[in-house]
Amino acid sequence: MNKCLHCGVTITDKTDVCPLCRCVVELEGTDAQAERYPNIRLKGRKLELVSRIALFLAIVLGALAVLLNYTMDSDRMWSVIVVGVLAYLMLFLFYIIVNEHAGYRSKVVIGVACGAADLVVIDYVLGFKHWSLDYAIPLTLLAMDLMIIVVMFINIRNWQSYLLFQIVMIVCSGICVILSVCGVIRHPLMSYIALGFSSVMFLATFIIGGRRARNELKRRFHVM
Amino acid sequence: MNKKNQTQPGKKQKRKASRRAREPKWDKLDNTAHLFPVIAGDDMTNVYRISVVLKEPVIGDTLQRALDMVLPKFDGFNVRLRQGFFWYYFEENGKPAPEVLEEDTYPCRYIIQHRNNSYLFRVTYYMCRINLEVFHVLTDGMGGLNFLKELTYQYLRLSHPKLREQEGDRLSIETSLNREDSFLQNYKKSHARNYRSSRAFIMKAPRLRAQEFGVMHGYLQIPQLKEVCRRHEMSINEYLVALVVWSIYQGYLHGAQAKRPIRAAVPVNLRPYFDSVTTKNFFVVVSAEFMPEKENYTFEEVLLIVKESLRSQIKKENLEDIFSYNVSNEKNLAMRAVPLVIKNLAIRSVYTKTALANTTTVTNIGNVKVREAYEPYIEMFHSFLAMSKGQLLKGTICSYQETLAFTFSSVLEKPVVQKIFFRTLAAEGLDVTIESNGVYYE
Repeated sequence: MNKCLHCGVTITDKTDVCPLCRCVVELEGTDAQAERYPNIRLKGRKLELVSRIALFLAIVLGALAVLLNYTMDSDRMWSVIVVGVLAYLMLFLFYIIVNEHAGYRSKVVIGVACGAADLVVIDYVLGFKHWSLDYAIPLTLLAMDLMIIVVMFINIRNWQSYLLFQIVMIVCSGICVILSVCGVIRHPLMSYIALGFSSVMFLATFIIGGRRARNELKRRFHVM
Repeated sequence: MNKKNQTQPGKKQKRKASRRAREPKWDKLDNTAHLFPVIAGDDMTNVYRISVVLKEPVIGDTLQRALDMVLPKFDGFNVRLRQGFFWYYFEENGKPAPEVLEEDTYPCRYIIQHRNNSYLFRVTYYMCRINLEVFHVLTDGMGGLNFLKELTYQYLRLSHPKLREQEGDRLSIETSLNREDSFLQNYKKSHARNYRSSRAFIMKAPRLRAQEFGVMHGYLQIPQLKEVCRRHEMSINEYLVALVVWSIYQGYLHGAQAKRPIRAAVPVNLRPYFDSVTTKNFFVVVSAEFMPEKENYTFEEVLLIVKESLRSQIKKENLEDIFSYNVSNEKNLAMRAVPLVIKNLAIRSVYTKTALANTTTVTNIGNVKVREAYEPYIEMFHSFLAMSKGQLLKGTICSYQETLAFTFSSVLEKPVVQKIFFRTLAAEGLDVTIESNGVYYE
C-alpha cells in the first residue's frame, strides 16, 4: 500500500506516483498488492493499415482515370466505370471485410444492391442497352433467393428467421415487374421469373412451416 | 396392449414437448430499452459492468461451467435481439452460453449483436474478480446484479463441493425471474413531458486515446461516511452526488459563474416505489441541478442546492410523471404503427437533443447483500458505466458490508474531478483508498 500525503489517500496500485496528483507516494507497509486490472496494450490491426493503403491507392487510381479520360478526349466516359468499380471494391473492403458490426445479412444485401447499381452504371456508360435491368438485376435476385434456401438449410434450427428476408426479395422482384410495366425494363421475362420464384419460395416456407412460420411473422410484425 | 396404449401418448407428448421446445420464446422490450439499440455504438456502448471480487483467484473453466448452468434458468439473459418491422424484440437464444474469457481489453466495450453467440452480455474474469458486462437493453443494474449473484453462487458451489452439498444447485429464494414490463403496469395516461432537455455544462478536456477507458475506485468506510453525512444532514446518495457536482464546479469552472447548469443525472430504481420485482429495466432519471449564478459558492451551499434539487424530484408522483410521458408515447397507436426505420430516426433525433442535458451521471447500485453461506468467499462488489454523448465521466456507488465503492469511469485524460472528489473526502476526515486500472499512469 502507498499513501499520497498531498491527496490524503491510500493507493493500492503498484505505483511510485499518485494517479490523482502525480506526486511521489510514501510506501506504507511492505504487503505487495497484486494488480487488479490487466495491463492492456492496444492491439493495432494490420488489416486496418492495409485498408488505409488500399483507400489511398483507390483514390489515386480513380483520380488518374478521370484525368486520363478527360485529357484523351474519349467519346465514352470510361473513367466512370473505373471509379464505380473502385468504389465497389472499397465498399467490399470496408463494409464487408473490415466492419465487425454489421451482420452477414446486411452485408449481403448492401453488397448485392451496390453491385447491381454498379452494373446499371456500367450499362449506362456503354450505351445503355438495358442488359443490366433486363437480365443482370433479376438474375441477381434469383441468385439471392437460392442463397436464402441454402442458408435456411445450413441454419435449420432458425429457418423461420429468413421469412422477412424472403418478403424483402418479393418486394425487390415486384419493383422489377413494376419497372417492366412502366417500360423501363424492356424484356420482362426474367423479372417475372424472379417474382414468381420469390413468391413460391415464401408461400412454401409459410405453408410448410405452419405455426412456427406464422409465429415468426407475428413477432416480426407485432405492433404492440 | 395396455402397455402399448400407455406408452404411445407418452411418446406423443414427448414429441409435442420437443416441438414446443424448438419454438423460440419471444418477448417485447421495455419502455426504456427501445432507446438503447438505436443509439448504441463504439463511442456510446450503453454497456455497464458489475463486478464481484472474491477472496480467491477465479478459475476460468469453472466459471464457464457455472455460466452454462445458470444461464438457461434466466430467460431475461438467454435471449438475442431481433429487429421486427415495427419494433425490436427479444427472441430466445438457442446457442451455447457465451465464452468466458480472461479480461484483456478495456471495460464496457460495445457488444456486437451477432457476435458473442448473439448474447447481449459478456462474462470475463481477472485474478479474483468476476465481471458481468450487460447491454442496457436487457436490464438495469438490479437485474444485472441478480444474475451476477447467482453466477457467483454457482461458481462458488462448483469450486467448493461442501458448499454445493449444503446449498444445492437451485437458485436462491431472493432471486427474481419476473420479466413484467413494470412501466406499462404502472403508468398513468396522458402526462406532459417532465424532464429537462435544455443543455447543461459539458466538461471539455483532452481525452484518452481511442478505445482507452479509465476506471478509478475509491473505497470508503460506511460508518465514517454516515457520520459525515449526518453532519451535513444528507443521505449518502445525496452527499456523493453533491460532491461530484462540487468537484466538477471546482475542477472545470474553478468556482466561476456559468451560463449553463451543472446537472448530474441520477437514475432512480422504481421497484421500491411501485412494489415491483421485475428484472427488466425499471428506472427513471432525475437531474440534480446546480446553476452557478454567481462566483465562489461554498461547499456547503452546493451541498444544500443539490440536496434540495434531488429531494424535490425524488417523489413517487414526480417519478410516475416522468415515465408516464414516455409510456404514453409508446402506447400511442399512431406511433406504434410507424415502421421501425422511421422510429429509429425519430428516437435518434430526440436523443441527440436531450443527451446534452446532463453533465454527468451518478448512479447507485445500493448495498449488495449476499446469502450468509457465501459471505466468507466474497470481498467486494463494484460497478461502473460506459460513457454517453456529452458525458465523459460518470460515477457509480456500490456498497458491500461496511465498505462503499465509489467508481469513476471516464475517457478524460486527467483525473481532475476524481482528484477534487477524493481529496475533499479525505479532508472531511474519511479514510480513502483508491485503486485504478492504470490508464492514469501512462
